[in-house]
Amino acid sequence: MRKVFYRSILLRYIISYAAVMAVLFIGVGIYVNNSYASAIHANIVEENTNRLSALRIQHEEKLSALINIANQISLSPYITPFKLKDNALKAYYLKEHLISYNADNFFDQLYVVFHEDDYLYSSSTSISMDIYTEKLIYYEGISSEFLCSLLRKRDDEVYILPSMSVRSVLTSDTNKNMVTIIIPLRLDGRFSVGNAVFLVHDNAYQRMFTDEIYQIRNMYIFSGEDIISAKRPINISDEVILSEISGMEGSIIRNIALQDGSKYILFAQRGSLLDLCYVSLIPQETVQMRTARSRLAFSLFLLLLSVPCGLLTVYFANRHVRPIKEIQKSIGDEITSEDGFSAIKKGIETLKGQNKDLHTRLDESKDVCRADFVKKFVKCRFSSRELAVNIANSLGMNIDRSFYCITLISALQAESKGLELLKALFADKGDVNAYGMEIFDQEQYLFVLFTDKEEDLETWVNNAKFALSALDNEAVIAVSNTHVDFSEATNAYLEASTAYDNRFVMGNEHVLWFSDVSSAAKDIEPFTENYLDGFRKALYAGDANALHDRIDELFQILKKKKFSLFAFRIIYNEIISMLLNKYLSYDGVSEQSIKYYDIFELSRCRRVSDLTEILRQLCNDILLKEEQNMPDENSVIGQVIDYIRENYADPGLSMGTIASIHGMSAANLSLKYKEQTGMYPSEYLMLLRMEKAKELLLGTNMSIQDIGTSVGYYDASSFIRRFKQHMGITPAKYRILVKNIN
Amino acid sequence: MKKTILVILLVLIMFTAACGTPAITPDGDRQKETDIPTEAAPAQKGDEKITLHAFQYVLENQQVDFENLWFYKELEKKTNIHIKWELVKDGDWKTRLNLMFASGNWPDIIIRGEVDVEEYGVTQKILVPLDDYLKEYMPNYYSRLYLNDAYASIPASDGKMYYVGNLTAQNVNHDGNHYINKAWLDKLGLEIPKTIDELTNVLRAFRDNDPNDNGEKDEIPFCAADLIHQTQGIYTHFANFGVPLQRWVYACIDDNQKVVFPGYLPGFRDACEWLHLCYEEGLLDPESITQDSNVWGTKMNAGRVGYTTYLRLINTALQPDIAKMYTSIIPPASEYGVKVPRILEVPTLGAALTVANKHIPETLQWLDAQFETETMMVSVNGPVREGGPIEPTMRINEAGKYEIIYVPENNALYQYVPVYHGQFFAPGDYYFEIYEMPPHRVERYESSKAYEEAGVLEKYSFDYLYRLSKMSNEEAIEVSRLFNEIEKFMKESIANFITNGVTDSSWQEFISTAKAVGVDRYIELYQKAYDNYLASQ
Repeated sequence: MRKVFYRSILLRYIISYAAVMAVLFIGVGIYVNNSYASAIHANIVEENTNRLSALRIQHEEKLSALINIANQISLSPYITPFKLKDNALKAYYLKEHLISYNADNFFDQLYVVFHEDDYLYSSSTSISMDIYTEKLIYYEGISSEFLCSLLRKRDDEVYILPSMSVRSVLTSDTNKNMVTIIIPLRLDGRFSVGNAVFLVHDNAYQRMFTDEIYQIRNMYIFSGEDIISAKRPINISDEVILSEISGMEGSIIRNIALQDGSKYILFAQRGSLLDLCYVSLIPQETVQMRTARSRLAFSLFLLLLSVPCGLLTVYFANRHVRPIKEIQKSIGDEITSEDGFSAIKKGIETLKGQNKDLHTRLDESKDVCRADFVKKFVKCRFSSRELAVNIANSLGMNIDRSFYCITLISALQAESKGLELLKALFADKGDVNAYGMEIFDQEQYLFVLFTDKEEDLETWVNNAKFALSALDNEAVIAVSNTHVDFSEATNAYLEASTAYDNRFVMGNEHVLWFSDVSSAAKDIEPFTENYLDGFRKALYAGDANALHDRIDELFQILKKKKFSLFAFRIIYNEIISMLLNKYLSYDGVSEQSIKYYDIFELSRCRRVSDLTEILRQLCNDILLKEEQNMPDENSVIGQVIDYIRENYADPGLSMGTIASIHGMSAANLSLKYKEQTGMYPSEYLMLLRMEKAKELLLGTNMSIQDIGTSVGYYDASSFIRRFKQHMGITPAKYRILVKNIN
Repeated sequence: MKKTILVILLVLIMFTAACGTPAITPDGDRQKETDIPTEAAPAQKGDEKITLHAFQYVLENQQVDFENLWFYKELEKKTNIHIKWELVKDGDWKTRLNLMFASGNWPDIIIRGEVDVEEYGVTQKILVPLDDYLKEYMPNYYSRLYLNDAYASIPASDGKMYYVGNLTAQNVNHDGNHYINKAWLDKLGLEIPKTIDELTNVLRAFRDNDPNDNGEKDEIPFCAADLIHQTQGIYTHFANFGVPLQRWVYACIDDNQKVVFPGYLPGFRDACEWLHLCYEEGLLDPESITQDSNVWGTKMNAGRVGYTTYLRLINTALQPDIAKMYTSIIPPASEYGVKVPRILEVPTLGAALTVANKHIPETLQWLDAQFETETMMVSVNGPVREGGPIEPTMRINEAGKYEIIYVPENNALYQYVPVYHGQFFAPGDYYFEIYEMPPHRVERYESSKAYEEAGVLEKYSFDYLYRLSKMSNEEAIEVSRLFNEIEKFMKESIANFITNGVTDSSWQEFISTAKAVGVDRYIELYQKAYDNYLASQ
């Protein structure tokens, strides 16, 4: 488990986030839980106090309205006490007047009673007191005499008869509870002349007790010890309430605990009118229930909230882990082998190491690039001086100087890193910038020296000779003439090369200056101009015969004239340059593909026949390119391949034979073949013979000699030598080795 | 980014789900169908119970517990319509009705009582014109509406019907039948009085000779309930003086089809003087101008009254043994002859709907369920089948007619069925076909027939003016305003004349005040409307 935890970053993230959220949730939960109980209790108390106040205000407004009606009746001209039997017309007018109070919806009936008269008057009738109390209205539990005495009361006080069942044909509804309110009528506001009797439906009170939102709550309106009206969904004795409110002033909020264990909260307010007391009672359970409900709701809310929070946790954890995983992948480490962060740390350390190597290699490659630049410079591969200077600058080389020369130095035999040694040796040689390369084939170092003063070059060379001599007594150093134009670099090289080749004549004790060996070049120019002109014409005419005639001619001239080596090479270079320009003008021909004609190869070209062979090959190439728009020759190469496959066992098979069979020269065949297949036919022939030989070595028990003969070699020694060259081991060793492995 | 939005949406959805509470489907409160005393059930019972607020007229002397009335409970089961009743007694009706209209807090339906359809229908457009609904939603009512031209008085001045009619036809009818305590007459050896003078003497004998034989002078020789009550008010006694005075319209049609103001009729002053004489001599109960029918009924049932007017004797507020003491008499005649107001059998208001009603089709179906023949008969007479709240009061006889078996005493029917307060529409032809007249109906018919034969019913009826003559809207409003003035003036004048007597100067003042309050214009408008009515016939 511990391992899983440490290895899974996702799990670590999720657990971390979840822990933070759990702390938050628990903190909020505890805080809310604590504050909820008191807030809800306070809220319920406020709610019930307000509700009770609303009841008190509403009821007092209604009572005030009734008192106002009584006052209005008192002030009306119809109030002068009369006796119906004496003046029935007054009764008529009073009755008509009372109609105007029917608009009040609070009371059901309004009667006016005069102390000195035997009648009650309403908006619809007059009734004698005895008929009213004995025949037309029945108060449950109240005798007609008592009712009569109430109606006739003269104590000048408002009296409220609590809600009780009243049966009467006079009321709009029968057998319903009524509250009877008796308000004195005062003539001129002073002398009590009678009473206004209001019969109020208990429904009107129940409506006042009713909440829009139902809540279990008892409500009472007390007048002294009498309950005027009440709503009692909770079964609790009225005496309990009465004992709690007795003697109270203002308002109270009180907790009540009964003997049966039930608990209640009682709210009571003393009214400003008629000393009524308004009471409401709720069970403690209400508070507890609401608290529990709120807690439950909040818990559910937290629970619900935890779902999106959980999802968010996973989402963000995953989002954070994804790039870490990607980093792990990119650094190629095993993700599961150890925890992600350790893997990343290790990966970053590896990358740092690799980066160091890379920088080292890059530094090293700079020397390669410089050497490459030097090579191109010598080959005059830059179209302009500016381009050469810019490229040199980018490589940290300063070649934008007035003069330059090329020097060739013999390789230092004893040292594997001779070039680096020489570079270090010549690093601080005054105003000369020297950039070198190694010509491996020639076992030479080539340095191009740039300076603004010619004499500095000589100083540099002499210093170099001195320094080299200290390292190697046999060291040779050859120097070209001083040049200005970068396009003469090739000539400069040839000058240096020529001087270098004169070491056998002049010895190596001194610096070999081309100027000392260049007198033979004087006779070159007249020949060059005449000959090259004719050669150029033949080339651009595309006349193969004429070209070959020219080459023959050159061969003859060179043989006859006995040019110096330098002259020969100059001529050679001129012709090659011309041919190259022509060759490079063809599409799909890159400089890479003419490596064959490398200037540095020229130094190995020491015979006239070598030159003519190269010229013939180059001319054939050019002519071949000329013919590429002609019919495809792939099929010819295919036939050559087939031919080689069929005849590889023939020891006499040669390129000349193959070429003649397919109507082309051996050189032409070689070139076309290389172009099509990437290798020379002779290479292919050898490859084929070696593969067959390996098959026979492993698949048969034939002798080495027989195998050599069967794959086209005259004798076993030729075969063994070739095989060793190709495979690195002798055929017999090969056979033993492979068979052992199998 | 998309995933972030998705997560937020998910959170929101969960919150929404958490905060919302499951909707509580209202319980249809489908009650089990019980035996309903009806043959057919034309009303369609809706799925959800509808509660309608009804503004219900209640007779002054009746106690009806509408909420628990068997009839409406059964009707509720059948129609799934519950009624929240607002009960208004007869005496308060006009005031409360007008206040209700003025308050803007209109009920869904107004049941029985009088409503000024010109004012509240045509002008204020508070009442719903029902023409487009009747055929579809009230097939029972509609099938009878055009029998005996019963519909004719219903359309208002704009031609639209603003109420469902209530009609109980017996082909001849009147209010305020005159009764005398035959037991007392017999005890005192007196004849039924035929003239005012004989009546006055009989009343004096009742006053002085202790006819109830209790040794107390508690007899009330002549008792009335209220001034204007149509059956037992003071107004009914003007008939003895050839003045067909009634409360509905202060105009009457004389034998020459002239519309006249009752106060201008020659017998009016003498009627007032005779009433004053009775008041002065202690013959007339001094409470007659103020007391309502309940107080009057209490006195009647105490056996204290000698002479009065009333609707009928059987099946009323009178206890049977008391009712037996009385006999119907032709109103004792004055020198001006007798003219009892004739009632035309034209529909009164059964029900009207206000524009506050959001369930008009359902309300009309609820009403029409009450017009189904048996339901309608039950609503007035009590159950016809076993299983009701009381033993069946009706049966279907051999002729296939509904026949009264018995009438519960003390108006006990009102404890079970609405009787007067419900819906009833029976034009003559229809009614005689389905109904075997019960004793109380027979009594009514017989007394009206007797009055007709004695020639004491007015030739034409005030109902021509009150119900059949149509005015333009403006004229209807003018008449309505004049009526209020004239009614107040007439009531005060009559009360004054009764209590203080009629002097020449007070009479002159009466005449001049009548002109001042616009009696002439009032009569003119009615004359014009009546002429138009006659022209249209």
